[in-house]
Amino acid sequence: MVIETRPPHESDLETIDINVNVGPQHPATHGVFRMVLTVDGELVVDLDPVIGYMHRGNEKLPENCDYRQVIGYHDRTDYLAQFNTEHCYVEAVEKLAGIKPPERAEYIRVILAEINRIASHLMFFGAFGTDIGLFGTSFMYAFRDRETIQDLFEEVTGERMMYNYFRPGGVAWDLPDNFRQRCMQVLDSVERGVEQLDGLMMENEVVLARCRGLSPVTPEDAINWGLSGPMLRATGLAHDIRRAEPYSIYDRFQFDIPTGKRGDVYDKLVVRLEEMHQSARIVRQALETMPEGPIMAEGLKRVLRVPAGEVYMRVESPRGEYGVYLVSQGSDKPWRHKVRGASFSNLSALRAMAVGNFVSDVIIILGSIDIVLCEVDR
Amino acid sequence: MSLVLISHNPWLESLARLAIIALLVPVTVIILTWVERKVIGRLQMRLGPMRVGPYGTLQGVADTIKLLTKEDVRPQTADRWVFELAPFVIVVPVFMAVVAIPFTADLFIKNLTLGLFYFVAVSGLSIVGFVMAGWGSDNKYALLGGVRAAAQLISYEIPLVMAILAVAMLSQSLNLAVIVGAQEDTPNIAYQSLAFIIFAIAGLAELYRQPFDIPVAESEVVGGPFVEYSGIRWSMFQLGEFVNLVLISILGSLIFLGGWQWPWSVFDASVPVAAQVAMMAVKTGTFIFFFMWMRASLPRLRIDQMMSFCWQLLLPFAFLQIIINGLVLVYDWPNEILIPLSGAAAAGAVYLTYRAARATGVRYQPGYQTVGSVL
Amino acid sequence: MVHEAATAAPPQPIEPGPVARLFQSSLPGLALEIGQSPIDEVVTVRREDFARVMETAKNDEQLALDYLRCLSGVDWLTDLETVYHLHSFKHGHSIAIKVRCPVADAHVPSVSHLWETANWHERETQELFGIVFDGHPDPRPLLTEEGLGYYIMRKSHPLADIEEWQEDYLKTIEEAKSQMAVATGVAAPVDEKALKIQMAQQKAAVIKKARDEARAKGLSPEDEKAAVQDAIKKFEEEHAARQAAAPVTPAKPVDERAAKIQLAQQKAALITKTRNEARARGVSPEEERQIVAEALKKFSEEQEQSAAAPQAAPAQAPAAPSVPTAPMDRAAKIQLAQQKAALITKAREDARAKGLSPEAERQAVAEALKKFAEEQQAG
Repeated sequence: MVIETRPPHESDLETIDINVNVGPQHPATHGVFRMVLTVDGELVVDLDPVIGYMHRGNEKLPENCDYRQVIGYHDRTDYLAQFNTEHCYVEAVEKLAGIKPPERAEYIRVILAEINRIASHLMFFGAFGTDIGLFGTSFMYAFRDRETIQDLFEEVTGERMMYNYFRPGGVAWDLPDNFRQRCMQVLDSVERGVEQLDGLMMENEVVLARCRGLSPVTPEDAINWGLSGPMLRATGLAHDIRRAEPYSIYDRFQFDIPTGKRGDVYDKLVVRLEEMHQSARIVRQALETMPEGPIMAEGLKRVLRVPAGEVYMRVESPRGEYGVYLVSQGSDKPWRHKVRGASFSNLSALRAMAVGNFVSDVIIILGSIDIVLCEVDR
Repeated sequence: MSLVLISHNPWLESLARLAIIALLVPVTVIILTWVERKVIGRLQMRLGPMRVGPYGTLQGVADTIKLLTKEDVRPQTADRWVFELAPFVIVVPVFMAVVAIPFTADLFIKNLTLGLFYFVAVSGLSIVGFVMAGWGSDNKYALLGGVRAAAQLISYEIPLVMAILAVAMLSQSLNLAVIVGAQEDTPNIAYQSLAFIIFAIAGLAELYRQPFDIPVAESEVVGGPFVEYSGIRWSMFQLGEFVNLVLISILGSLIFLGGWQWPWSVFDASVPVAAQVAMMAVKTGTFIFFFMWMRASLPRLRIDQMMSFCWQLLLPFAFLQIIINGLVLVYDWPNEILIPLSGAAAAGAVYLTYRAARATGVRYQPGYQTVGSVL
Repeated sequence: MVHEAATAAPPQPIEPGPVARLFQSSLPGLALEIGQSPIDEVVTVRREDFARVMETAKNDEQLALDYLRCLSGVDWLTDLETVYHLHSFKHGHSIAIKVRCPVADAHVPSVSHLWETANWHERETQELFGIVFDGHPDPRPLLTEEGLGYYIMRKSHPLADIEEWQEDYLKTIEEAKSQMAVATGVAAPVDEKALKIQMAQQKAAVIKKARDEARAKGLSPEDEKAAVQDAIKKFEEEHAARQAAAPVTPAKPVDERAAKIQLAQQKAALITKTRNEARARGVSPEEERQIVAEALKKFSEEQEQSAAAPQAAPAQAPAAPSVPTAPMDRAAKIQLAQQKAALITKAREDARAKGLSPEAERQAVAEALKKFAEEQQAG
């Protein structure tokens, strides 16, 4: 695969390429991430990403942990979409152990995961607006709605961020009594907020001028680079794990898969915006049909021993395909716990996508990948 | 000077007025920082400063005290004199420009016959300061920002000057008081709508505010040429930026909106100074609010988009306005004919810009793959 | 329904799934071990067949496994295993392909020329497990620092007791280095720090001896100081002579970073030395700065010369300082201050015992100090 860079301009001026270090501390790198850009004027000629600043051993430490203790690690891997990551791990354990969670628990999981998707995309829009130069306006709009969602989550789990709520076999405790009204309330206000955000950003002439046609990606390249999630769907490929390899109860709900056409930055924005609407749709359907009943599978021992085997469970997290490869040797601790973070594969394509653009555009492309460094580095 | 403030001695009088301006300008800047934070906060659905003083009014004072008491850090490898003189090179011309601005018919330091020319010439000196700051900081981000600043400020200087020139052509004078006097019946905005639009946009670019803040892009070059400055030197940059804001707004009010005279002059009354000041404040405030509103709403343009916008769009239209003015003056047509001519040209400019910015049309619709449920 | 933890059921031969059968039809005679997982099919291939299998996986029309989802390493204590989860967008099927290699010979052909995404995955697995991917274009460590030396994700790397383990590990590294040096006949890399400590101890012994001698002879403090300084100078000249005779080469820096660190340390030592000298001479701050700058310039010129004219061994004997004045002065000053403090306390106690007023007490203390100073001057 050849990375096309523009040839250096022929002129009488002798110029050199300078190394600009978009360092670990930078307002635009969405975390502790370092890019060493080789810059010819304003044109980026080469890009070397340096990661590993957030490597905390999320794959090694669970080898010493009980299966229930590992759930907290997944909260901290992708800290904007915790319910999705917990969902993935918990499903992996259940598949290995042959546990079937009760209906109500499945509904709760799907509802919370989808609302978490909305919250994650809101955060994306907030951060992206800041990257592109909106002086915090999109950030404030997005966070107004994200705060209502976090208040809802706090009512359910007691936490604003690191929920630790799903368990192998169900969920930790039942929802509060007024959850249905609260959830509809939150959804209504969030959808209104999303409309406002839509109006602010998607028809903004400057956003269009900056993002349209920036770094288009073909589906073949996307598959080769291992992209997933909105990055892949923006190229035109309607691949959503909730549809292609349905897990949990996603096959009961009707929702659409928004796709883009050219895989450029604007398409990614559009896909994420529409996904928020689709998530709200799923949540409304789930709220209507959620049954009463137990929220935890029967007969689970206090210490969960999972029979020997392996499983690679994947879910559609807001960033892409989040996977957990779990190998068990029959004990109460996992033998190998590998986390396939979506942002890891998405970020590995940054060099191919960004070389040949201006410095300002590289920042925007990085923002459009929507990385969470903890998922990249684990 | 018909209004005597201190004494009849012209030297003492000038010194006194200079002192008053030198005191008033920083106070204005302090108030403006509070105004900006409040306005932008309200546009972002939040309150802005509320704690420091009633409704946060003392926030500007607190910020000033903080900046003045901060340590003045200088990087060791910085080019020392270039680094340390850069803030002065930016701020001093701005204050020099204040000298030529009449705030009302009698409140000014010196009413220069070449006031407009002096203003344009002096405010162009600040650009050197940006390059000095960018180079002297010995920081690649500062260098990038300084180069961008130089490109942007020099480029947008030209449409700005053209727009001002158009007004000067119309008023047949460079004396700011005379220009305001010539707007007794109608403000120049009616005759020179295209020049007004160009002035507003080029002025926004000269102030390096969104959408033209690529030199000081927060999320890319983290402050641009000013990234290594702290304390008093940083506050000098902020001072320069805000005084520039006030100057461009005042200039716009003077040459386009009729200054202190319109609409009082329609009623043919001799207005007291207070009313003149109030009218100037209202018009300047409109400009300032417009600039802050743009800052809160628009992302920033990329450097090549910004440059092409200036050279391929603004400049031809500025020339167009001057040509129209020239035709009117040479063939001695009545000034009223400028209203439709200029208005048409302005509408054309707005339409072309709109079309160019919209690229390929209306809000993009995503593809959908509707897959029904299995139920 | 919860299944009880499965007791070891007799392993029944598992039927190959559809994708595995496609493999078998595309590559006849391929030795596949069929595994089981709740979601995907699992096949284990031998390392010899691995490259062929992967090429077929990507390029074969019916398989068309064009998406590499996940690449994991697993440590099975005797073996290291790499697991590849592949997916096909064209056909919609998935499979997991595993390959094992012994720990002693942990090499697996790289697949980053087939799936670009494998680039980063392989780098990560390489640095965490120690599996070398042959043919990888950029095998730098990704998540951990360079030159870590151990593989974190292996089971041999402990989870708890990490600090003791690290000490043991570093000790084994040192022993291994010296053993290797002995074995290959190269002079063992000299431990700079130990050398310096030794020299400092010797110097301290010399100082103490000289001071005792001077006191025994009953010299005045200045003479005592001068005698001690003479002794130090003699010691250092001897040391320099010894160094010149048998040059102890400082440890050749292994890589650029260590070389830079060494250079910086040398520079820092030079700066402190010149600064102390200048201060002892009592020059003004500007002159002091100038002197330090000159010394640094000379040092960098020397460095350039020595770099331009490469020598076999970096014969940089630790430079003999010419005028060692600071340490001696400081020790003497401390002693003087202690004496003064003792005197003040004694005088104050005396005055209090006599019951003097605070004013009188202060005067008495001042007089005692004056007397002490005169004694110092005279004696």
